[in-house]
Amino acid sequence: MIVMRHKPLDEIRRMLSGWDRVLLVGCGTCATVALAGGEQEVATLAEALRLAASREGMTRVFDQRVLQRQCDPEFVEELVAGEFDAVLAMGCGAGVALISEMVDVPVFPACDTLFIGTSQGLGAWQAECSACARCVLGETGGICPVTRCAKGIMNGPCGGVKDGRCELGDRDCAWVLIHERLEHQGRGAILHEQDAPGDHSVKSTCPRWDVTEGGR
Amino acid sequence: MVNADGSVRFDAQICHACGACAAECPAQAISLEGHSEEETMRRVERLLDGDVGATLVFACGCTPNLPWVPGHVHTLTLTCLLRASETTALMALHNGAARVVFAGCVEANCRYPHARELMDRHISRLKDTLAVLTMESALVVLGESSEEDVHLR
Repeated sequence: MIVMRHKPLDEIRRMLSGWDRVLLVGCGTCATVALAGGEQEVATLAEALRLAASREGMTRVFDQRVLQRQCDPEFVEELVAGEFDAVLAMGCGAGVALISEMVDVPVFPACDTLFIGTSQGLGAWQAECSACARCVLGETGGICPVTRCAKGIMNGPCGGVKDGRCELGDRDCAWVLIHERLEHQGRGAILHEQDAPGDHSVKSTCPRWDVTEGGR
Repeated sequence: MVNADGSVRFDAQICHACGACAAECPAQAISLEGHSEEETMRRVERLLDGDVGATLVFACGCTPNLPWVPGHVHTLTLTCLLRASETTALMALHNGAARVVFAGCVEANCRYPHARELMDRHISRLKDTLAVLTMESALVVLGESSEEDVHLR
């Protein structure tokens, strides 16, 4: 799933200053599971914004809606934003982009989209995929160097590793994990076969994908 | 019931209808008839009824010796304080309550697995929100009154 986190309330309030009729739009898919833009988060944020406005003696409208999916026109079509002068989209970047395309008023993001990840228990996720358009997981034991190595290098580890940890201090070294996993699977030798640098041109040449027509 | 990892399990034999599962479900797909968040919010609205400046106490139904709260107080007793969501607390403040009190959420009295731990997360998020709005004093969390206090009363 796509993992995102709420922007700080202060930042959201700054974005919305000057807009008095705002529609908060949640997303019933990834944003709900990511505890960032589901029914609960939309209701809580709307209530916090109403409280903030009333404390400032202002009359502002914050209405709320949760779409099943923000990244699909079929569901965004349901959105009627005519009576609002701005939309606060509580989903991933794709949701913000599509809603912006389909309504006439400015759309602001309530979340920062982080990565494609896996659930690690309540409220925790691990970054696993960066949608690089060139999957190497088959050769790296299912651990993505593009995503989990701080440098995204294809032949690690680099000199910044110490006791299995990345020099940044916030993560395990992806390449140590890859070596350990492959050795555990008895196929450590395949690492010595890798010598070509990663092809980072693929992503920049594939901004769009159509199953029938291919990439453009 | 809500497991430690956040997953939800329903077992009719041990269900006390505390509502923790409904409170925790991200998609609000679980509901308890007559005990929905909307119902709790309606009860709050009825209690406050335009009464600006009052204190709203969300009281734990499991705790026998609830602490005394001074001032002009309205009390809403819930089977579990998890039922008083962040949204409900913010709505109470927006509807004129001067402060909200979460009273009696005490591990020793709790009948529901992990409810106290989940409650701590709710309170922490609510505190963060109120801090941004410079309303820190609008939230009070009280435990249980001691036996001595009860005796004196």
